[in-house]
Amino acid sequence: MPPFLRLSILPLIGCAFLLSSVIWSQRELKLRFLGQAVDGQLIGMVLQRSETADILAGIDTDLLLTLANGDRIQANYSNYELRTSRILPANAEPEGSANPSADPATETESNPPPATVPLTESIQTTLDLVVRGNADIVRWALLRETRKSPDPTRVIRIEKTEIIKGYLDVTKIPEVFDLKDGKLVLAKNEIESPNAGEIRIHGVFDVTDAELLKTQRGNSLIDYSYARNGVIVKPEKKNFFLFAEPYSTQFRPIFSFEANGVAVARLSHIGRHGGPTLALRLYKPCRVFYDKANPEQAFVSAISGPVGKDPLDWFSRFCEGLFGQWGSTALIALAGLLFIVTGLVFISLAIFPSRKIVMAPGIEG
Amino acid sequence: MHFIETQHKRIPWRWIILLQFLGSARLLALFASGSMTFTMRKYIESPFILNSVSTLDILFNLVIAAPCLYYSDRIWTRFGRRLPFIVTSFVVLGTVILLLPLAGNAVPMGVLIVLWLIFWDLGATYDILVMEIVPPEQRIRSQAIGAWFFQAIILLSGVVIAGRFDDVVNAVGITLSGEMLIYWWGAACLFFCTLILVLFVRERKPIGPIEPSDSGGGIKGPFLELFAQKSLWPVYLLVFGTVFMGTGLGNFDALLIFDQWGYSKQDMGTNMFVGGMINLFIAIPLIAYFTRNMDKLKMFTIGVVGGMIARIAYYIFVQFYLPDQRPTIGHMIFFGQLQSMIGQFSGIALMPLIFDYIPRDKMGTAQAGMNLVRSITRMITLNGLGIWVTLYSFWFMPEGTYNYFSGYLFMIMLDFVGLAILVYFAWKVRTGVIKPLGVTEFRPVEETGGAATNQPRID
Repeated sequence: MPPFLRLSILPLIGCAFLLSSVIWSQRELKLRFLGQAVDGQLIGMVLQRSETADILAGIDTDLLLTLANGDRIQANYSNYELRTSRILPANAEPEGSANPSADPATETESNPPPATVPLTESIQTTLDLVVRGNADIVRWALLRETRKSPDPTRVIRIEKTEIIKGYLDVTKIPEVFDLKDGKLVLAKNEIESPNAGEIRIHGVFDVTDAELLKTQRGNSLIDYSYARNGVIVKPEKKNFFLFAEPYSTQFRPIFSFEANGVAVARLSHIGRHGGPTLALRLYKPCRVFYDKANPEQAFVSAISGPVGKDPLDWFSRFCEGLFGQWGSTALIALAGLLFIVTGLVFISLAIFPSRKIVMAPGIEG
Repeated sequence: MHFIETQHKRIPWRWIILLQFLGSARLLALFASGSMTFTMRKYIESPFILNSVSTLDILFNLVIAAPCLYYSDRIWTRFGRRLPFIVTSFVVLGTVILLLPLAGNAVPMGVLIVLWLIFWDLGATYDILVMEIVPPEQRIRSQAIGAWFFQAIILLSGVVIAGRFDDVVNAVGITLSGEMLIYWWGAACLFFCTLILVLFVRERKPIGPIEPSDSGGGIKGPFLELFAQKSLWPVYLLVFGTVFMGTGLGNFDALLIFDQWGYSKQDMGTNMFVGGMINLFIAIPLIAYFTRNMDKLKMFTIGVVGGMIARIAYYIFVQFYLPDQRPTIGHMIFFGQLQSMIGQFSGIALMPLIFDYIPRDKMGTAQAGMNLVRSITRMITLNGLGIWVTLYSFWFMPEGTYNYFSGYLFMIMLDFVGLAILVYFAWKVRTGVIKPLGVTEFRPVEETGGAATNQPRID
């Protein structure tokens, strides 16, 4: 092979890789450097399976915590935001969701959100973890509380009910969604969508019955149900909505932002297999880069926030956000650079050969 | 000259940099293959099968790598003697890792992983090729450059690559999963290595005849020879004991952090990155400082007993102290570094200590025998661990869940067995039954009045 051809192979492949990385992220690079940046919010999640998808447009969560002294704490959340909390004495009946149709969009000055009672820091921490957490998080929370024995205010039972409102078994997922009163809708006129539906998941975790706990080999989940539009089904995993899917299910967040005074909702181009995206958390703020001329062209970027108490956790979040977005581009470009730099070193050896080479005596050249 | 060649007395430093690029790319592919545990986990539930697959690596090390190394010394082709093995290996490995994320179920995935393990060992001659290119006087600096590259790889793998496995990117009409990205990146690294080797590396035929390949019945003869030497049995016993004490969780380590404790792969990457940095800037300098004047037996004892205590302490801390039996990333880094630092005491002292008990004329045989004993023992312990975790989970865990941390109990039991073997060894040494033949039988050339030349020994 002629030396020129031999020496040009590596740089050429390297350039091809670099070009591929630019083509691969062309849209995002353009929006990142030439687009408009605004704050946005993650307002939904698409659970994309091989044929169909479920679209989460809203989630109500009811938590009922039973303490060792018999008191109960009822907390109701809408889109992971605490709407009401009550302390129920031992004999009082728990009420249903205090504000089942709680919708921040419908709250006005004359219709403020219901007041909440102050809770202890420990209980508040447990609630914060459990409301977003999967079944394992609830188990661990209960296990931590159990170790507090004989504290009468320790939590001994957690009931969690999730009501997911959205669209089920959707066959065609739109890239851009509509917003109705700030709420995510699949079609402009919701009546037209036959896919609108509801999923209700109920899980009870209890450590009071030692015998039952032993029979279940330490598993505190004593009751579980998953209903799609009222029909009980068996999910892949006995878990809450975002954690009950098989690994093959792709989770893609939907984000909203305001462009030129108009609210836009769009499906993210990045997602995760088997569970929700880690850096892009549902109903948390995010950064959006969009094209001013065509606001539907936008991409979402994670905000890692302040370092806080746990720098390692922050570092993980930061890397997850940064490389979840740019990791593939960076690796393709890095492969290109590896080829180019190596090719250039070989070219330098051909143009400026080293005089340091000393032949070992008696070796065949 | 733009070719990299073997058998030079002195080579340009640019060759060494290029060889480090090559070595780093190979290592990056190896790091990418670390995700195979997660790929297997997609299709295989049983911890026993998961760990059995990793022990195949040890098996192929014995039946593939050893013969390839042996025959590469004894052949010559128009492409050289090491390159044919390495290039074949890299081409197949690159193809395998390219196809791996497309394997739709357990069978093709299993076949591809086994092929990966076989052909990785086929390329075992790579390190020898590098040693043939880099002359002895430049090897130390080459190793130092290599160590720096290695740290860069840990950083890159920990921060950028490790956490990408579950990611999905939808762009230009293509859906690229993180699994594809990691494996295809590994494949690109391997094809990069192949191109450099094919286009720019040349082996030169060494002077003198090629060693014949008739050492008493192919490769069977040397294997049998290893255990015929009675004077080496105590050494094998020592190795047996240390492998027992050094058994890790293997594939379960990742599954413990990810599956059981619910951390993300990015958290695992953070653990790897921060641990690597602490190791580089704090642990290694500290160990170097403390061990500068320490007796090697004392070092070995600190390493072995301290490592065991650290492991027991970690088990007790997680199982009985932490309220939810789930350590934080900080805890994992702390205990990981503690075990790693203590382990380095025994790591540094082990080989010099072992060689004290090996007669000088049996070092080669002993080295081969130790590798064999180490591999077989590791195979037994890793499979044992797999069975232990499977049975423990079957008896004590809710259906479908696995307690990988229970593997620590198995490891602690092995620690006690290993310690018993080491105490027995020490007792035999004290009573004079086992003698440090490497020390007592050694006579320096100066004392025997001979000349310090490379004259062959005449028995």
